[in-house]
Amino acid sequence: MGKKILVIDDSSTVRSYYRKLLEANGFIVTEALNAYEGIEKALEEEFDLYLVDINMPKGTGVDFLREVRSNPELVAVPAAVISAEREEKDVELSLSAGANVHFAKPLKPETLLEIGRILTGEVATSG
Amino acid sequence: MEELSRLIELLNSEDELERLRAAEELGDHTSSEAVLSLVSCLEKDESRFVQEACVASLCRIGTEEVAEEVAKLLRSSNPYVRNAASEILQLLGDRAERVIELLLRDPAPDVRALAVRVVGEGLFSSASALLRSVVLNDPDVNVVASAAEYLGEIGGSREDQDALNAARARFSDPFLEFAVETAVRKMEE
Repeated sequence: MGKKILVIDDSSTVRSYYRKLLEANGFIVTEALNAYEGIEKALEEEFDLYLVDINMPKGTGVDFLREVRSNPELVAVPAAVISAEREEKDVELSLSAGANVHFAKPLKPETLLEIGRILTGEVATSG
Repeated sequence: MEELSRLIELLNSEDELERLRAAEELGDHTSSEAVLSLVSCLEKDESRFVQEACVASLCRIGTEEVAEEVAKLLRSSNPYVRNAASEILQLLGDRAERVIELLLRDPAPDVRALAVRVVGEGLFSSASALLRSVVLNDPDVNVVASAAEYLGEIGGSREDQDALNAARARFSDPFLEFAVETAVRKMEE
């Protein structure tokens, strides 16, 4: 059974890109268009990882992270922010809201897969 | 004139209902004072009801000055304010075109990305041409990918396809490659 990843991004192209890469490598992907839909799906189903965009029209990635980090049932699920925002203040905001890591878009396919494998516990980090 | 200054004063009332009524009634005025007061209230008021009344009034006034002032809110650190500004500009459509053209040349990529969203989701008669220009000229791959996605949804001309293929060659990035392929496929559907 593959690890389950919830992808939260308002761009259908981004969601499709992640889905294609992740599913080709054995992950099971669920999509959400915004933070509110992401929260609904996170409450309905168990995931091994959240991949979250920050700037979305209806509820931001920060809203999503704060919500899941305040829920005892979801607090332990790892979350990676993958966002066009790349300044130090943006990274700090993601991490302070509860992200484990913050990466700038666009991601190389191998980076996306590495995030998936490491944060879902499929492979151990080296060194 | 007296009524206008009274309404502007009421926007600072401690009573939420008074602020709400003032925000609604200011939509009947088209002066700079009314526009500036509503924009300031949208940015600062803590009541979502009052903010939404400001959005509705600014859309009703709908002048180019509204577009100019609201565009400044795209830089707000408050996501609700940014999204409200984006929504107003989308609804103003062609009346905001000059402002949008400037935003699409803004030095900040996140502002340009928001401007692309406004064009892609708004009521602009020249949407395809604006998006094509971004696809051909913007230096940021994420902004170009976003413009490509919208162009795939609303474009379809030979020019649009050529612009997308030129962007693919210009960046040589796997994500943009995927975005261009997706956009071209949508155009052909």
